Amino acid sequence: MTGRSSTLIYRLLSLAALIAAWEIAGQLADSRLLPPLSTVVQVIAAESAAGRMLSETAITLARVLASFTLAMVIGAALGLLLGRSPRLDGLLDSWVLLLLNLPALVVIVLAYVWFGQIEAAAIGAVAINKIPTVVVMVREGARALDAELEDMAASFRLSRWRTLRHVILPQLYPYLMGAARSGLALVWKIVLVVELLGRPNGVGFQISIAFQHFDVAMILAYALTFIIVVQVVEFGLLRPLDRRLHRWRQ
Amino acid sequence: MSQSVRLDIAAKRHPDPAGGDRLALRDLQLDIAAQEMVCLFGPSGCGKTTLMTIVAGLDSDFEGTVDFDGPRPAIGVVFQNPRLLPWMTVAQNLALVLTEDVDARVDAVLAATGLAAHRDHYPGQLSGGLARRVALARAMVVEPALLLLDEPFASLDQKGADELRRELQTVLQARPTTALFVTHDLREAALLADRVVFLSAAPGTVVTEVRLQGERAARFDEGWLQPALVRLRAAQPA
Repeated sequence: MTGRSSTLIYRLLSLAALIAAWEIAGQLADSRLLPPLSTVVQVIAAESAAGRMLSETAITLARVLASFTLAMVIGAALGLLLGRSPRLDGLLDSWVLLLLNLPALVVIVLAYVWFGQIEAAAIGAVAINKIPTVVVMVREGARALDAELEDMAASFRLSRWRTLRHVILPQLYPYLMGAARSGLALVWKIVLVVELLGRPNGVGFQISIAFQHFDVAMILAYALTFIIVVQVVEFGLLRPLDRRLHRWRQ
Repeated sequence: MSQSVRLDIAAKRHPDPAGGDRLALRDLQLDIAAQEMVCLFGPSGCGKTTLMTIVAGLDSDFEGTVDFDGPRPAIGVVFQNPRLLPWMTVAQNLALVLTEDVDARVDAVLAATGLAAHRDHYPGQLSGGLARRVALARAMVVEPALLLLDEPFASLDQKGADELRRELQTVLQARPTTALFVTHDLREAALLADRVVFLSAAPGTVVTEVRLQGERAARFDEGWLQPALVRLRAAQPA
């Protein structure tokens, strides 16, 4: 208990130090290019009052969730298949490797060139960037599945769905959670790039406008807000889910 | 349950790492009468577990037939490791293998096997003996016509194993069920079997068999057990 509370104190202290350093550096610099935190907070307030902050953040968040879900579902299904079938793995492994090493920017630009600057191209491009890492992580888990448990399921004549849902997926949860954690962080960063390059709204679009005006306070205002949103998803959604799935380990 | 089983395995081969294959079972015939408890006894590696996986329907790659005298009955299996799902409670592990009348059956079996107090425990919280008791309960909850047990009490100390053997006797007393029990422990065979079937070293085939009579509940009595063990040792192939 004391260990946990002292870690919390260190966290808060370090956060306070960061905030103080930012504020002091900003005040000393006295430049549009390095605004202090207080200025950024004022911009957040003004943008919120204008209604833009909420709507733009919501649009970006919707894109993040859509491409994140798409990547997780396709990546998990593919990873499970490849992990269980060495033949299929041999067939598709080099494709996964290729996608894994394809720069995000290339995928985005090609998607826009081939399919136009449409929503589906944007979300699809982000998902394609994330899918190979999900495949690789889930494939690792699928290779380590316990054959004895599947024999048990087969001897009790469990349906395929029950076996998948209750015997196989729980063994993959640690890998899926790992993929989800790293995925959320990666996906929202790529979504901003997609918005900057070809969407007429969202946080990434606002940052591109601010960039044209060298409005650093605006850039930091949107970035800070979205960092907070992603943290809320992490602590409000992913961590409680993780705890729930691991209840049996206690 | 009046389920009989007729096994006729001409050959079962395992692929060999060297590229060829290895004969695991050969010319094995075994008839199990309804409500009979047959113990399979043989040296390790003689194909006992392989035979179990064939009867359970997990392995169809063999020459021969498994005849249930009708469609495949409900089969309850108890493995050497309990093979419980660690992320499910005891009650959930039992419910998983059922599709109808789930709650009532789970409650009934938990009560009958003395596990009611552990219904919400996870397998990781159970002792080895309790986990095996749960595995036995899971096999019974499907109301099996045939029970397959593959050294289910191995790796327990004698006291813990005997407790579960008594439990199995009680369960079968209450609900007579055809059963095939693999063991490498003659005393265990003596305590449980109607018939002990001795298998040869690999490739496994039936060498001889011994029928045992006597109320199962009374078999822990040394006066019954010792003569039975003498008979079994005398019959055991060298």
